[in-house]
Amino acid sequence: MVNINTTMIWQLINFFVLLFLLKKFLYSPVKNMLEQRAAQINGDLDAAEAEKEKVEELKAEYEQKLRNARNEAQKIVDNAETRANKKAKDIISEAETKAENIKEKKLAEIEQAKKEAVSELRDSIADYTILATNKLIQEQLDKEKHQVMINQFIDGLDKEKLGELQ
Amino acid sequence: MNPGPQIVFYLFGKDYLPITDTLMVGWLTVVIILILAKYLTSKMSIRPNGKQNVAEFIVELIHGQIEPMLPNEGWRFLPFIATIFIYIGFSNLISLIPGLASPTGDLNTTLGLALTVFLVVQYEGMREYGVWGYIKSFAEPVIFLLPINVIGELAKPISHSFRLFGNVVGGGIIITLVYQAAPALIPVPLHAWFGFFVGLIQALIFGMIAIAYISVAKS
Repeated sequence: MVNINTTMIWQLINFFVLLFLLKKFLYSPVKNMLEQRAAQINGDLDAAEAEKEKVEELKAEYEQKLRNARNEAQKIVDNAETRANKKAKDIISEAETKAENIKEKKLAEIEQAKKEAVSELRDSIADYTILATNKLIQEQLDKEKHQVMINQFIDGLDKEKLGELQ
Repeated sequence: MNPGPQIVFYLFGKDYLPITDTLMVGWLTVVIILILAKYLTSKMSIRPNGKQNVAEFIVELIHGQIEPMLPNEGWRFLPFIATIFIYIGFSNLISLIPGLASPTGDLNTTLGLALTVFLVVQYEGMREYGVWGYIKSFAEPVIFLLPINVIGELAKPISHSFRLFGNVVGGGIIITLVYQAAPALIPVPLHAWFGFFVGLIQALIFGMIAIAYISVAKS
């Protein structure tokens, strides 16, 4: 069962051949691959870090720009608002002035019309009084006739002019 | 029943060149390992695929065993140690195929490997401390310990080789006995146990001890 012979040498040859070939086919390729991958990952990580820094910078820059733009926009809006308010105020005050003018003009016109109407009425009444007086004067009459005439006049007045006057 | 290696034929008909079944299975093992290695490492890429992952896993696993005990020298010792792991592991596993004798069930194999480890250990010790410094280290801490230390050192390859040989042959004998006693029922799990678990564990132990010997010689 325990028999030392040339098999030991054969087995050692086996072992060293295997060692040599495995080194060529397994260990070296795998080691190279692992090293290559490590190098690539290192490179990628470095690149990613650099990229990240750049991005941070850009981000800060853009944020600054955005803040500026926002301020600018706010300024523009404020400006526009002030101007619009001023314009609106102007328009309102102008309109008010105009309305006031129109109102005054119309009131004056009404006043004028009233005056004219009153004077016209006064003239008409005067005319009628003169007419009535003329009729009275034209007919020299006694008291009874006088009475009859006045009544007639009034009747006539009623019939002819009452409608107009009313 | 005659456990152990059987001589199949004599090379060139010479009595001193016997070719045993364990040696032939050893060749078969080498061929299988090489085919597997070639297959696993074909078309490697930075982004590993399935079989490349297996190759990387095996190499990194073994590297992970060496590196803690031999700091910064994992890759230097990897080919030697990994070949021990792989060759012994496959030699033990191949006995799972009925009719094939495990190459590690032959003392020639295990003693050969243990002696190689022994030579590597001596070389590494001398490389670390110089020839004289290494030899002197056997006389420490006191000169009386010199013979004991030398015997202890020489016993290493013996224990190293017989541990593996004994486990494999013992497992084989038990399986053979059980096959004769209960041919159909028990042998399958038992065979799996000795072939698979004991085989892999013994390969691991043999390799770890090799690492430990080198590590001790260097410290």
